Amino acid sequence: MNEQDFAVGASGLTKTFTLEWTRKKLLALDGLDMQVRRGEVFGLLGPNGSGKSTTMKLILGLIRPTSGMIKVFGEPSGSLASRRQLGFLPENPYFPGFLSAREVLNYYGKLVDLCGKQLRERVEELIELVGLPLAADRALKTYSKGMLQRIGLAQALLHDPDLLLLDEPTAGVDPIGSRQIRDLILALKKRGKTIIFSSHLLEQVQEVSDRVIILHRGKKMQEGTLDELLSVQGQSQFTVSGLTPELQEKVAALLKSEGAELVNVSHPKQKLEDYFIRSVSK
Amino acid sequence: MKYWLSALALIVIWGLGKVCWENRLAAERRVIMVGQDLPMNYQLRDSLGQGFTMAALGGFRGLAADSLWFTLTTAWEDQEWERVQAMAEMCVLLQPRVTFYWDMGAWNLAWNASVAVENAPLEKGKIDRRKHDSMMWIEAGRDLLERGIRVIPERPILYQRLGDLYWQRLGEYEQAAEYYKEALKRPKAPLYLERFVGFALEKAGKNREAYEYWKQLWQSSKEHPEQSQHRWDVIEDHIRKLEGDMKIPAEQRFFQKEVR
Amino acid sequence: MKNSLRHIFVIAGNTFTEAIRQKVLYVLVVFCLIMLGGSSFYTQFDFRGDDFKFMKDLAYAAISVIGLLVSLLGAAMLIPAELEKRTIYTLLSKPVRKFEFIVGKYLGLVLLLTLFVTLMAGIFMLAVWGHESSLTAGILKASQGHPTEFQQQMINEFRAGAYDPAMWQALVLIWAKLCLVTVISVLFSTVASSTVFIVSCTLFIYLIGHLQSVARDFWFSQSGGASWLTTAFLAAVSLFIPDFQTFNLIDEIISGNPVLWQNTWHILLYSAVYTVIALAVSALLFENREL
Repeated sequence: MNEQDFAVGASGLTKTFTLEWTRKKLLALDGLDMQVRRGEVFGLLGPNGSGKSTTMKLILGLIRPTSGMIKVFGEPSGSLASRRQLGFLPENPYFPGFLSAREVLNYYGKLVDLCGKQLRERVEELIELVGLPLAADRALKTYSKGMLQRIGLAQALLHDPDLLLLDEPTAGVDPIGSRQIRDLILALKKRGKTIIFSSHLLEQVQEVSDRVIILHRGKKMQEGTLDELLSVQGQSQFTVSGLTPELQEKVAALLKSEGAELVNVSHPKQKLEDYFIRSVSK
Repeated sequence: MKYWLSALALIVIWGLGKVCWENRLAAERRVIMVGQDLPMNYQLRDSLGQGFTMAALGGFRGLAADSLWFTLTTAWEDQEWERVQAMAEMCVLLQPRVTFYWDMGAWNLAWNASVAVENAPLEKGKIDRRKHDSMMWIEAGRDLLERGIRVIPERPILYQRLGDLYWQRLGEYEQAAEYYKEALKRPKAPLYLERFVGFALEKAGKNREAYEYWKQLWQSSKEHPEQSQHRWDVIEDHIRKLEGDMKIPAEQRFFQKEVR
Repeated sequence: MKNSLRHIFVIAGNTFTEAIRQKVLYVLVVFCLIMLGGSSFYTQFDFRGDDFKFMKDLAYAAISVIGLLVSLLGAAMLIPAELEKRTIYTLLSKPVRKFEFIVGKYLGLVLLLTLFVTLMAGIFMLAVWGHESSLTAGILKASQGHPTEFQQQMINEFRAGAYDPAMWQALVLIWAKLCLVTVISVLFSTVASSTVFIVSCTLFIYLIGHLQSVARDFWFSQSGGASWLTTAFLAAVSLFIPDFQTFNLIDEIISGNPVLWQNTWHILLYSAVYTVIALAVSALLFENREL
């Protein structure tokens, strides 16, 4: 596969930080190999301090790798060419609090070289897309965390980038907001965008990502599609309605006679999130 | 690392150039501060150009001099003339190019201090030193003005004050006339000083010189750009009066016919 | 190139807007107005037309000191805030170069200082005008509209003192000095992230800068007598620190010394070149910095 076919290609990516004063070395990322294909939704998983944000910053070029190399669409990370093609939503985004949403989007829009009518239209489009038309002229310091997150998404999308980097996009957002963000990710995927996001909430990752990497203390522990990683090999599950105790006994006996074993019988549960959203939207 | 090195290299290279540039700027500044190459005593030049205090005061030398001046004003109210003198000296040291401090400092010494000392009640059993003390203050004022003139030779005001001092405090009218003349050579000198010269010469009893001066003034004034402001009547009166006093024969008089 | 300029202006505009929405700025402006108002206190005394020297001394000191605080705090508050609140991540994830950020910040602060100095100068001019017209009116009233030669001379002196065209030079020099302080503040904020640290360092340079000429003269005049340590110290001060004494032509202007525009332009050129170099160094250091 050619270099350009990867949205992000990293090999042997290592980053050590030197602590101030003590001069101690801290290994934040240790020889990470990572290939993200175009059009993929890619999850970076791991507990706090596992190197997710470091990876994000390396992709953006905000920091330089200690060793190894990283490219974005074949361009060196941090180069203007690479940054023209990516949008970034930082963790807990913060924006100049004295501006309104519309002003902030105008400001960032000018920095991605939009201007005039094009800029105005794009800003309105995005305000609509992230669902903030009513609050667009309020100062951002009055915004809730979820609203800031949406503005963060809007600014990341301003120049319609091919690659989106979302750092903890659902952290601190309520379930409805969280679901909206998830829907947005899926919608963007449909339009052919590549999305890399990090999270420590595993369930959300499960719902949207094609492939994931699990990081722990700067090392890659696992990599693969969710099917590969999560299916329990050698076991199967069916869901039945109208299962009486007698029928259950019969099935168990049948399974036993065929050499299989019934491991567990339980009631399927709704996900709390689904339940919550259904209750609220009633 | 390479960024640090290039930043450091840039600073050092610029530093070498900038030092020379700063020397040139400092030379320019010194010319402005001290005026054109003046014969000045070295102590004053040093304190102007390189003085540590001057530098440390940064942009607030003026403000420092102002506050000293307020101290001077209170000293003046308390009639503490030594303090007045000390404060005036400090002010002119801080801002030697401000005429105000020389001018008002000298006025406080030669007029206020000397008159106050002169009029002080005589203490019993003591020798009357009042005349002597008064003279001492006048001379202190004169000294201040003379030093001021050396620092600011291009403005008329201090010459005018020195003329006033010779006239009013010392009664040396001929000297006063000389200083008024010096003042008149400077740009923007007040026009009335032209007449002061004549008055001073008359007062000195130099009628002949005064007469020549008034005549010359009458003639030169006709070409004067500000002749409309001239008190022609005063000049004419003085010429006629002096001709009378000196008993100049009618045919030699300046105004042959009744002009004007 | 065109994009770079546009980015710089957009960031400058944003910085300016952010700065003028800081409450501390208004506190400083009020302080400055109080000090300017204080200059009318002087005029209760009779200074024979030299009133204006006193007014100018106080007004220029007020603008310098408060302006110094504005320029010190400006860069030291705004640039670390971008880092601390991580807005810089958003900014630099866009196709914006780091030097554009630095230059934009600086120009925004210069814009702020320009507004500040202009505003204060305007108010000061009003005060001078008020004082001059009341003095002149007093004389005219006493002479019932026909001033004697002597009184006319006094009026002329008042007016010359009040409306000295060299005043503009003094104001421009104050502004230039403040801009130079700002660029040093920007320089420090590219390597440090604590406001207190940046303000202290800049203030230190500012104070040493007023003594730099003394160190430089020593460095140039000494002949082998001093130890190498002294020489190294004097050389370092001379090379690294700007000569703030250069700007004290302001003093001479207030003293009524003839200062030509040519002298003022020379100093402006010096500070402009200094600024460009300092911005280049800032950009290099910031380029190197990991965010």
